[in-house]
Amino acid sequence: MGGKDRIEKLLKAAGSEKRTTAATTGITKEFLIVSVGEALLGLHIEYLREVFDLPDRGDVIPLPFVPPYLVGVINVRGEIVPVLALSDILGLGETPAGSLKMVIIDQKFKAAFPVREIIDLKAIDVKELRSVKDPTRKTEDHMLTQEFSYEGKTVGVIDVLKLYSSRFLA
Amino acid sequence: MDERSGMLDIFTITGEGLRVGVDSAEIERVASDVSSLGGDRSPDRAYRLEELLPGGRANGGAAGARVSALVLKSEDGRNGLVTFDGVMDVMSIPIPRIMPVPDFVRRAQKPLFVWGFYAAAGGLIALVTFHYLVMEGAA
Repeated sequence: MGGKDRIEKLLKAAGSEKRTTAATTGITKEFLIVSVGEALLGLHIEYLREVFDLPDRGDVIPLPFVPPYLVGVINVRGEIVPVLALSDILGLGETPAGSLKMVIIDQKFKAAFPVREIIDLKAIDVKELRSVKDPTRKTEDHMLTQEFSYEGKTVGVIDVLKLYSSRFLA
Repeated sequence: MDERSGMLDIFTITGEGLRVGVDSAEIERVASDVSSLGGDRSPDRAYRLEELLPGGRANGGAAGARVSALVLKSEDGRNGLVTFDGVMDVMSIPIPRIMPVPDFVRRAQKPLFVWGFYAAAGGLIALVTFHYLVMEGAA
């Protein structure tokens, strides 16, 4: 199964079948758009592995002696996957306590993070991506380095490579 | 660890919805009543298990309630004692079926405490080590 087909199947399983394609003429990148707190975030599908509803929030097993952004681990078909509070890492405020939707990404290792809602899977023309600089954050902690517009709102693109090389996950 | 058979003998402690397993190689002695250890025992570090685990609830040990204890094997002269209220059992688990925590999680824990999980009937058992806690203390 191809990458796009796989992601669409995952979205369907997560109860979100929405998929929009921009009228483009150039090179596009596909992003999963999710909401974390009040923010919209875009995740390049290259790093996306799974999207699912967690049956029970008690399935997240908290760990002692870890920093607050590592909220625990989950058992995904026999594999222990860390659960990160992306909102803490990105400085977006608190993760909603009721969130049961999980997104798993994979770069150096698998990591899961709770999101409030799966919004869309959207192809974006690279020309629509804008660079973002945040003078309020240290350069190494600034992981939303690009953004694009979606239905009148701004979506911050998670720089996954920077996330994995950051002090939070390194 | 019994390397010949590929099995790991663990003490499992259950209480307050928490289920943890400790490698029997870390344990010197088990006391079903901590008072039986005598008042002259003064470990370098003593812990209440429920207080170590997020989500756990220490009930404070009601007056007269019996509190069990694990006396940890001493290394470099440091002694450790872990007390708990729950039920304890002994299990042999196949090592290949242990789900280790990812390296990232091991590194993030200061000190390392939960090193793996085992899926048993009734749910996951968190496999913990007290070695680093006794040697280094909690961060």
